[in-house]
Amino acid sequence: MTQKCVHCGLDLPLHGICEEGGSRFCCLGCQLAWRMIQEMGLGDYYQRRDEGFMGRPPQGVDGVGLQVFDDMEYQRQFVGELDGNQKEVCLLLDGIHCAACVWLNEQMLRKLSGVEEVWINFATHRARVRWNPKQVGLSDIIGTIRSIGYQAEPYDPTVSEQGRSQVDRELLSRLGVAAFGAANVMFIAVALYAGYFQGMEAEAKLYFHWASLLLATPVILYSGGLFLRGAYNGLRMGRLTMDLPIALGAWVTYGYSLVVTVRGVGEIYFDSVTMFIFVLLTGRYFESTARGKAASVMERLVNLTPRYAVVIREGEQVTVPVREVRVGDQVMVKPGERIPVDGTLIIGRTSVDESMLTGESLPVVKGVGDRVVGGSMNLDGGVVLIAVRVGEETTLARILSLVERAQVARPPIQAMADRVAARFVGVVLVLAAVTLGYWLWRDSAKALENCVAVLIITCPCALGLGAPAVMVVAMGVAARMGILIKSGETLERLEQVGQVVLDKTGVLTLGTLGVERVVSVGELNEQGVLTLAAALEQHSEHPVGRAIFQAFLARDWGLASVVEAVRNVPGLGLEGVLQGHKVRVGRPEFVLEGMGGVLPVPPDDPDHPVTWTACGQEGRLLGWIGLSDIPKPNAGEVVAALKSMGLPVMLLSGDRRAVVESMGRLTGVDQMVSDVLPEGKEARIASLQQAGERVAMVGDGVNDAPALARADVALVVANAADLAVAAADVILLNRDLYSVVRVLLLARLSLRTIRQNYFFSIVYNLFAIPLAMSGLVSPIVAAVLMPLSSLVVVGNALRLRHVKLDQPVVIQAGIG
Amino acid sequence: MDMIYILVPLAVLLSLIALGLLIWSIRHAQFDDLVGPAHRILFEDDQEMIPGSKSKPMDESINKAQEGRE
Repeated sequence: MTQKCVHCGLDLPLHGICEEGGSRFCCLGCQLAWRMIQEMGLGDYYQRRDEGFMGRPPQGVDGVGLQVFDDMEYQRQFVGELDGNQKEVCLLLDGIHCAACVWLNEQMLRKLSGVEEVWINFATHRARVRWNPKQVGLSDIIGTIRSIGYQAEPYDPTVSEQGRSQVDRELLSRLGVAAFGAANVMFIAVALYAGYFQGMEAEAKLYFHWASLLLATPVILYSGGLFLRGAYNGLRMGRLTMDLPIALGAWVTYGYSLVVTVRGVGEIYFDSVTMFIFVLLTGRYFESTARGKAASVMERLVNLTPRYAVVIREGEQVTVPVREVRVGDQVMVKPGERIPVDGTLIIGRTSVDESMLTGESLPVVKGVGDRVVGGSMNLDGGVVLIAVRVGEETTLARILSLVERAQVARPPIQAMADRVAARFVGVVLVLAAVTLGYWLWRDSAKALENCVAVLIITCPCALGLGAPAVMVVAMGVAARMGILIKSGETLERLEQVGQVVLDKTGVLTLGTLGVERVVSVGELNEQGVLTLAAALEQHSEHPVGRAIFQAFLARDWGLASVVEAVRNVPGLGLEGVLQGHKVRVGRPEFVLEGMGGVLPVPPDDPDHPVTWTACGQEGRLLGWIGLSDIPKPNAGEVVAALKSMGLPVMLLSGDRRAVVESMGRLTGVDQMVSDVLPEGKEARIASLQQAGERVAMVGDGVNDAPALARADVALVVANAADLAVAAADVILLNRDLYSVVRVLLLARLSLRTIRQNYFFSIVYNLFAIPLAMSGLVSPIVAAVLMPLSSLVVVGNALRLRHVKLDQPVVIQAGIG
Repeated sequence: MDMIYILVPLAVLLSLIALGLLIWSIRHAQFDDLVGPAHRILFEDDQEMIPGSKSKPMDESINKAQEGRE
């Protein structure tokens, strides 16, 4: 059981532990953060934090990276100037897990002299900071947040959040007015109902009618105005939306009751109108907040390219904002940093992690003359490169524009609700006209009344609530399972899906390397080979090295041996001295250096390719270690479940053919496509769509983003690249791939429930309309039938909460 | 029974006041964060007011911490 760092909660490494005051930390950054927090008197933070907290060590605290925040050009986009010489900024915070995190950040910032106000929104993790620029700068503010282990990024609130919160506030106001009106009209209506049965003075009855009219008018005008506007907008675009029958029904009911009040004869229905406007608005409000919650998770830090770059100008190293790098500039990149622009290496040798682009889980060795891509991570060697493409021309920028284009090209879907509404309105209007005509001929006194009765009784409440109620319940059920669905429309798209496309790395597989095989060729057995390799690799930052070391730790054979004189040769391997012998691990030519002869061939199995690392002593090969990306434990089950639902599964990856085919065969997918670039992935989705299929794509990397934007439904695994998250319709927060099956099942069940609701409202109308047409509907009958229909529909939607989504295949409690 | 002519408007007036307060609080962002206030109650922001507590202004501590970094 490894110990954890007191500050960030991650496991303590085997060496390099810092200690202070009896507490142990994983690195100097955490130790300093702890010290600062204690000195501020905020040590309570560590008690209040949730158990099992897992954060990050402080990153990016050096002055260089922070300078850019004080740049005037940069600030113009995000920082607002207020009078009294104050500035204000909205920050997106990353790393917040609980209330204690919010508390700590607020306290730390408040204590900076010059910071006037800090307010952090718990739900959205957005911070608003007001400060005096003469006393403190934006770089200090962001630096403080980073020094305790969180990340902060300025953003422009008007673009995303302001719009949405405005809409939500207005909706809530309308809801409040509707509630006010409905409640008051209801209490008066009780008196009127009593009067209907027991008799009431005409004077009192008239008084109540007028009171109800005055209360209902603001409701229909302000609260109900939403539906009027929706209906009008729909009509202008030539579409009949759900708002139309709602607005029609509401206004007819109100208008009829108005006439009754003015003439002083008959019964009013203000209580029905206000009630169903209130209920419908409640549905809309919940839908809006559910959507808002999902959306705010999706707008995260888009931080793929660094803000600044170190450029060599006239022999000097100059730090500049990335947009100032020009083609032909010499750019220096240290190990552990992201490469800022597309370029060609001119000095140095290193490995880079290009997984965000190609999906390749293994780092690629780059030497002088090789091309590197902006946004990829420089792993182990310091290099200098010449910028070849900058700004909008870089590969990353082009992928971004691909995503935007794909989103526009995505096929639209007309919501089922709107299609039903269109037909419904037509039929009802025809029947009302028929009633009018018939009664004008039969007994014209009753004609108008019966015509209106038809229009009123076909209460759009059941129809209007049928879909929203189900969608809200479904989104809540999904959220509790760790699946965030962006909107009700997504549910409909999910139900129509006919083809599932999966990315490989990070979706079907764990995304990290694991040791699959250890082969001994010399005097050491497998255990000895792994132990030797691990002894060296414990000093490695390379994914391959870390995987070997993790595999050694997992086997619990004791502590790793101590190796002296460890030297890391980027791109080739590590060497050191163990018990007097020179040992090496890495590429075969490196391990056998100086011994000449033929390079040994690793024991490769063509059906099951892995990446081989050699291990040896004094130029003699002792063994091979084979690593590959391991599929998630329930990957096979998930694919089987999808196929049993009638959905063919395709594996789409940028990785090379042998690896993709091996993974495909292991998990049982129907089709495997390899070696595709981001454009290729999008093209594949497009061709599937042209063949008439609705495609659901599950991805996680930047290289998936254009394809995700194009697919009918984009599902994204949590911890995916931010660009992928931005293009997503569904986020799978828990790492369990089976969520894909669950959300598809949920969508099918939801649509079935919606259709049940529509079926019910049709039956209800078939029953009620003839009653109305023949003049048999008395006010009390109408007053009872209408709310009853709403209740049935909402009750049916609530049944979704008890649904079990673990069929068709029994699940494992895997984390994946 | 004539009382009803006063009582109904009175009741409506009372609920109008409530509605007014609701709309006022919506406009002043009271409903934007429904999770935060529940947690904020439990925060102890008054360490500075307690005599003998360890709380100090920020800049001293930041300088100390940065010295330690070098």
